[in-house]
Amino acid sequence: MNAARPASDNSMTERARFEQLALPHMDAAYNLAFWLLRHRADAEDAMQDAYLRAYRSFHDFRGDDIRPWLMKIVRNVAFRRLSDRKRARNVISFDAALFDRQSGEAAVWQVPDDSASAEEVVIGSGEQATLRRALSELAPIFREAIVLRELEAMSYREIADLTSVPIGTVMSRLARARAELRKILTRIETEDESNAM
Amino acid sequence: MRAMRCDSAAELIGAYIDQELAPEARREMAAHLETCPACAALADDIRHMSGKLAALGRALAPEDLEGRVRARLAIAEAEIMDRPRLAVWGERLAQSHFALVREVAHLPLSARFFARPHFPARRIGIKH
Ligand SMILES: [Zn+2]
Repeated sequence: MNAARPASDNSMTERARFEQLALPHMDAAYNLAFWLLRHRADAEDAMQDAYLRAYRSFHDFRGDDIRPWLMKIVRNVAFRRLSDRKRARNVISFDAALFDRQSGEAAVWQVPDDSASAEEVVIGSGEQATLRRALSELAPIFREAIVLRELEAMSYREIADLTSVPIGTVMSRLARARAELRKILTRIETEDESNAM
Repeated sequence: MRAMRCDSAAELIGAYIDQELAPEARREMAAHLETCPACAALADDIRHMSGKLAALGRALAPEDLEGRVRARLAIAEAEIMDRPRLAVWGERLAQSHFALVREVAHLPLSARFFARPHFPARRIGIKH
């Protein structure tokens, strides 16, 4: 790993040291945040939030490889946002149930919920777009398993550490995620075929 | 070597493809796939899908995100500098104390987990 902590360099500020270690992992971190939230602007906010949190607790970080520690913070921030959204949506549904008949205020519906936004996730067309769409339909915990394993090429041990579950749970989540993904893909293909007729 | 059944094979095929099975389970799986066309087809399917997923590549962060993150960190740094040093140290002490309590609270659970005679990963034959 080239992310070893430059411990001997006293001329660097803490922020410079943090940036040197943490910024090279932005691509991996953003990929995870994006696939959990399935929303660009939200993923960007989550990244800002996570990096700020990481910087503020940088003095707690021990070891040479910042990546697992940083990814864990990103993951926690993203999952918190997912549950906040769910709460917000419940409140909105309640309000909507009360007021929808009168005006149908558009503004309250702008809060991103946990349903996939096709234009955010499905870039382009063809096989890759179908695969992205299928992936976006998985439940967050299964989406995460696929992203970490297939897109980030992490080992089961690394995934277990990041997600704080036993390695056996990683295996069963992945098995389930793959089975679900195959099902969704079959469904989408069938839909597309019947649409084409 | 006992024969592997299809239902347990289905659960393990992904781990087999990911090369995450311990040697014995890997041999059992290989033997099963030799003799079971259904599981062999499933394995091909998963391998195929895995390749396609890897080929998707990452969702790319916008180019200006790094700059925005840096700017935010600079503000946070200035805020820390502005505060009296004593307050910062007090806060850190409180934070690290909290972190310590949190770690200790986790310890018995994980210690218990790893001390269990039937560690699930071993039972299902995943390598460590
Ligand atoms: Zn079989």
